[in-house]
Amino acid sequence: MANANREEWSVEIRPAHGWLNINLKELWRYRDLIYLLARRNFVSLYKQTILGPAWAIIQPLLTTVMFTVVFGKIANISTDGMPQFLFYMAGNVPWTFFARCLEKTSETFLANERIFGKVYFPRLCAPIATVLFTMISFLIQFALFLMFLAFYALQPNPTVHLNWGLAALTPVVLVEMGLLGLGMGVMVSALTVRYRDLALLVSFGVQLWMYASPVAYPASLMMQNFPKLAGIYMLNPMAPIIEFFRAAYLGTDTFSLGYLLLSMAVTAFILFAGAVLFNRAQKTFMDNI
Amino acid sequence: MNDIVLEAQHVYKEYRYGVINNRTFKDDLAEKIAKIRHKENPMAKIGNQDLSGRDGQKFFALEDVSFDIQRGQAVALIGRNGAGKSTLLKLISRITSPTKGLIRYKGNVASLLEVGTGFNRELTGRENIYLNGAIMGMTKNDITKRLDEIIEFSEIGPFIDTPAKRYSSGMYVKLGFAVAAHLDPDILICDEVLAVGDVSFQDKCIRKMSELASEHTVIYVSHNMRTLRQLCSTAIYLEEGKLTYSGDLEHAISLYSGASHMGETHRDFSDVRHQGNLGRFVRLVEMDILDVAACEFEMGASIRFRLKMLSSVAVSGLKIGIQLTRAGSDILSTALSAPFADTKENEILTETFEMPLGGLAPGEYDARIWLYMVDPMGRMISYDIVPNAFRFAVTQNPGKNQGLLWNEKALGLFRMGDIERIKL
Repeated sequence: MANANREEWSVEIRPAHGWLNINLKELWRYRDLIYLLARRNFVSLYKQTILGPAWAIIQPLLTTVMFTVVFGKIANISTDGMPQFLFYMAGNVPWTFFARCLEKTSETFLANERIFGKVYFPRLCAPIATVLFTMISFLIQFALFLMFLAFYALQPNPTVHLNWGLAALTPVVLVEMGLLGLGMGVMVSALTVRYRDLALLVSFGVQLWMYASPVAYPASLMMQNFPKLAGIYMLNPMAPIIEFFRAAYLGTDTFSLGYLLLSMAVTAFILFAGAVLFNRAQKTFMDNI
Repeated sequence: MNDIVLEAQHVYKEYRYGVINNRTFKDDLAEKIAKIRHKENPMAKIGNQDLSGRDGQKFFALEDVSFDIQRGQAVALIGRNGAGKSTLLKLISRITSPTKGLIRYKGNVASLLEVGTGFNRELTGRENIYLNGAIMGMTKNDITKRLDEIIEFSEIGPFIDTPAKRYSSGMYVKLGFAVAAHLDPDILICDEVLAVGDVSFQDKCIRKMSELASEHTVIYVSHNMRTLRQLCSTAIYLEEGKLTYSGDLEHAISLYSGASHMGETHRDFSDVRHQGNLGRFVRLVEMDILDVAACEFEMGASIRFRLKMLSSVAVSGLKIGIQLTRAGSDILSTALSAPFADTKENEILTETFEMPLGGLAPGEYDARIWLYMVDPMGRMISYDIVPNAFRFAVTQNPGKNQGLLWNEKALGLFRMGDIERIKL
């Protein structure tokens, strides 16, 4: 670790001002830490459980079954003509990923208080590691989804058809979701340093947000009922993302690339705002917590 | 050589009294609304009269602190509790930011304010080494290179692939220290808590730390002056958030251990607080150190002093002892006298003594005077003890030390009797 360039001041510690001086180079230098933190989260969560990572499968599976029964069979909500089970799963899997990212990263300061109080490392390592770790669960769930999809697609006269062009965009959208969850999460975590109430609101807020997103119903239903609110509805960055998954893998036709681009713009804004707030909070957080 | 690796310029750190920021959004909102309506702040404490009235007031944990540290220096950071040591360490290790001022350094800093930070109980020892090392700023490659050394040092041996939750608390801290000791930063910040584990491992820790201190730039915090003397040569002394002295370690230690009586050759013991029965039968009243203007003596010289004592009862075979301590350490040595008086009731005695310093090494010492007797049954009875009766310094005298400048770290605290060449 000996620094080759000994003549320059390598670090200058000044009072906490300045809006955005996130040191990406430093963050890159700590990439091993990000990996190790993600690994720690994964190992400590699943060690000594009987089913291990299989839990990642059971949760969305049960939720999807519940949705199918409650929203599909009982409430009889339209699923754009898609098999109900697949339709809800296509909404649930990406939503769960986003919601986990948001919930977990919003606890960054409170959960890492002890470490943060003893050692300096770029604080962003912790929430980024959380997102990466959550991504593992997502990939497992997504693989499960693909298996169900294959089952339906291989039936004679399948109602679902993959849109390969769109499906190729999946990694991009996945990264977007991760960044969105990260941005929202770090924003909340920065605010919880000052206002503890927000920590209590997070899971409730996430639940409300889910109903504002087309997880349990198709976006088309929303558009039909409130055509004037369509623009506002699509400002919710998760709405086009879930629509994207349904369009790419099930072949629904209510998706528009324009809304996805809008969603990315909103994501970029949220990420930026989150980074600014987080950056400010991390410098004095030990005095405030 | 002027090779500064770390400097602090006019650093301030401001805190508020009272509980900080346990407020909710509602509180803040109420405050804002009141401000808009030009009403009194509903969150303000009423009265501001009682002790808690300091709530919300600001104070400086650090005030205008400036210093610089040269490459390779081992610097002790000394101060009483609350002097701002921890705050300064937190600033240097970037855990929090200064309110004003600038701290900058070259290379990288590893701060060991705790061992085993971020250890996870579910991970194995080996995995924890990687995690802990990465938290401390090492890359995976760095750690892999030193892995064997770390495992070797930790004495964990065969348990390295066992989850840390199965470790004894001793193994836990040993592993933590092992990682910390193998960081290779340009500047190392150590807290005293670092010496951990059983006695032999503590020794190993201290040895490792002095090894580190000789190769790196080290800032070391401890209340244990013995360790500081082993590791450091210079010191920064903080008092109530202000840097009041920076320089020689011994002087900083003497500042730390209280007002220096050096230079005073007369001492009045009337304000000494006696414990238990001490001072009831025979009491030390005052003393004068003779022949010198300040309490400084060359190595090998003698101290002459006059003691005034008051004896309320008849005592026979009264003796004195002078016990030497150094700030923050145990008793180093004791000089004894032969019985010098048999007293009568209510007698005031004045006696003059001479104490040869023998081979006592240069440095500052505190002397404790002890008045006692040993009865015919061999039982010792203490009549009076005055701790910190006087402080004196022993100065260098190379002429009498075979031309050597006495270096305590290399030569120790005492020069023994000379070695004579003999012929059989």
